[in-house]
Amino acid sequence: MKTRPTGEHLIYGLIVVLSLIALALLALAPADLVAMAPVYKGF
Amino acid sequence: MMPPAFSSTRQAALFALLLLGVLLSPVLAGKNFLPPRKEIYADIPWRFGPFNHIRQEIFEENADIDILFIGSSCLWSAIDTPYLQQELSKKLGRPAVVQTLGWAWNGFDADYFVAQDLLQHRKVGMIVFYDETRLDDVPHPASRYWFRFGDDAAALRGLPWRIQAMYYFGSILEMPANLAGLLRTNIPDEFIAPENDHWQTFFHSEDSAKRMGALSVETIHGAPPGTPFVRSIPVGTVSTSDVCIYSPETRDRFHFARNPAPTWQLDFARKFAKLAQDHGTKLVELNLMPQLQFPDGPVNTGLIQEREFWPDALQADVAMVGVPSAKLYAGLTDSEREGLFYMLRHYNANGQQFFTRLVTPSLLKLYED
Repeated sequence: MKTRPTGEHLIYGLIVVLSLIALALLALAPADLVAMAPVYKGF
Repeated sequence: MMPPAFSSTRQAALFALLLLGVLLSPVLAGKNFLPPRKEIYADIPWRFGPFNHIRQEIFEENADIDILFIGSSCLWSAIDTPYLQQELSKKLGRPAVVQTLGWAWNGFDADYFVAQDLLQHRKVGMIVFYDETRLDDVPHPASRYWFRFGDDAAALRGLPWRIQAMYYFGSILEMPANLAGLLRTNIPDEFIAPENDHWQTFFHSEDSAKRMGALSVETIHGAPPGTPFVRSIPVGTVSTSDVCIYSPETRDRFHFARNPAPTWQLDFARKFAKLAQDHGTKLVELNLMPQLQFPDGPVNTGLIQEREFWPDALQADVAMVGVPSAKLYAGLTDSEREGLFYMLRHYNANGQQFFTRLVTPSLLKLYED
């Protein structure tokens, strides 16, 4: 069986870690912060 | 068999680099790859408030401001700024400069960032603010515009990591707009779509820019849409002498709930207060309808309800002024009182005139002291 070189493992590991960080930031952020123009419901 | 996500290791490495670049973009851009802060304000959509007017007041006007009202919609709609300007001008014997910088959604973080930009460009004699505490524990929805990591990373120091992460994420989201701002000038959306009649159809108010920043909403809370708005100020028994400025002699007229704001909100409130003090600006906390703010507290009380004893909470010299709810609406029928609001805690144009005429003498006294 062909094994992947360590460098390739590192790159894919990095992609997984960075993607998880990006997802965590997105999950933490309140919807109004992400929306381009949230609607203020008061008026 | 599913094809591989990347056709080569080199492609995977480039993707990893791209992700890294996006996540680190606020750090990599630093201060040098950000457009002037003036550009931020031109980029904020009108739904957040009159930020093109705020931009002009901060970056294009340069006269010293005598009294500034700063904060979110409760204050934005509570003060009839042209009236107060007129009264102060009479007192001073010269045209006074009075301005409201108001917007939608509350939070002391907004006060801090906007005041920081303003005080770097203009001298302000007195700032009036109110209890902006937001209890949902998230940054102001427009914080991604005015918080830029390269400018203000230090402002996050000491905040809970969750709040820091939200601000940082906001910085990432706004990075493409900031980089584009380096290449060309932002045009405020009211110029891009001049036919946009949001003042009439959304805010139901004259353009704030024509009213020294004030919002005068011409609707009544709970009234069916299309109900004509009639300008009238009800007459109750309250008088200007019922408005109270805190002092050791008047302390019995205040009640401090000691119902503290989230610590990070207080942290921004303290930064805001320090900023004002460093610029030699007097600070006044104006109490706005506290009986609706504390659902568990006494509703119709002869005491002025405050969340905090603000001089201690902000570690600064802060004057406090208010009027007890029992006196504020005394002598008004329920429908007269309800007719002063366009929504909970927010005065409409009639409520604004009712309230401003009442508190103006005390505010002018604080300005002159």
